[in-house]
Amino acid sequence: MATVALALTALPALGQERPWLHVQVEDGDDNTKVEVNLPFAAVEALGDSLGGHILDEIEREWDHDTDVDVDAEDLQALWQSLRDNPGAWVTIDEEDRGNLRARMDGDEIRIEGSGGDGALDVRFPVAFGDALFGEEGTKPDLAAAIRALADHDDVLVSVGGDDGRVRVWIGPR
Amino acid sequence: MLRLLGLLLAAALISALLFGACAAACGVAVVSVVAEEGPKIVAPVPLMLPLAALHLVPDHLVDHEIHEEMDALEGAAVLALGPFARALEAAGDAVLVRVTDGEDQVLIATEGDDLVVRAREGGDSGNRVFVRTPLRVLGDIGDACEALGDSEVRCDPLGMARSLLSAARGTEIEVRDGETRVDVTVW
Repeated sequence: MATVALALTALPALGQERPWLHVQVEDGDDNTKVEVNLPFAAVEALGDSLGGHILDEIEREWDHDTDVDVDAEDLQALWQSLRDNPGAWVTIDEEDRGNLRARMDGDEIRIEGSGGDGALDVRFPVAFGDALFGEEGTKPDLAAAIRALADHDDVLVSVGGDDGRVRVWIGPR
Repeated sequence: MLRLLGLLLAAALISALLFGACAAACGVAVVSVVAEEGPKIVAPVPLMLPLAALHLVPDHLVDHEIHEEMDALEGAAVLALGPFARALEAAGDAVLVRVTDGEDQVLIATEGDDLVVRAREGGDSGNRVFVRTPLRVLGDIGDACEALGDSEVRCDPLGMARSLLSAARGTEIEVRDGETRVDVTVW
């Protein structure tokens, strides 16, 4: 009986394939194409092992290259203030040079831009920021933020123009 | 005199048997080289030889190369190899990386329990490199290392080499450069 119950619980998981991270880079000049496809579980494994070290490295580089003192609490406060004010965060419209918009749209953060050189579209779930910056008194957690992307069945970054195109997305194999 | 000769023969026979058993246990890499001009060379190389050679390298040199040159991020990357390889293995066959530049192509894929690398230069008839190795080679390298505290990783070089060599069974390497062809198969 217990075996049957266990098998029934496992059935939905069998039908639902785990997501993959896809990256495509195309260079418009020499027709070079790069394609990367990784099971998201492998990306999570890298995040779990490397996440903390990557953030330490970014912090070291920041401290080395700038005089601006930013700590985890500042980032959490900034994220919380953005989170508390959904809607348009940044809007730049320049007739000749293009436009850029950053906004929180439902449970998604969108950055869209276009200009003479091409177009930009960035979409991240709000859960990514929540997991990355965490709560007061905690350190930023890249591994948790990566795990929060697993349900984002959509484009993460799309940048394209005459010179080439970069597209990063999470979806089926 | 005959007794001494018998003893020597017995000693030689036992040594040969021990060497053969040891070579079989560690595995053998069969290297084959076919050049446009010149003889075809086939050389079996017992994998116990590099292990034995590693024993002769002074400890401080290994320590310097493996531990002092490895920063925290690199150490964490080595530790990540095991879970990363296991996640790839669980996901089944897939093309992980494909780089195409005109007729040149590099492809990294998982096929069964193996990681396969195919590189091609100049189309189908051009130079090529093919490598097939069990995915668990990656995991075994990582498993020979352990985290000490938050930022230090210690690796056992002999353990890494042993894992690498034992997991390398089934590894195939094929390199074709013009009319020269090199094949390595690890048994």
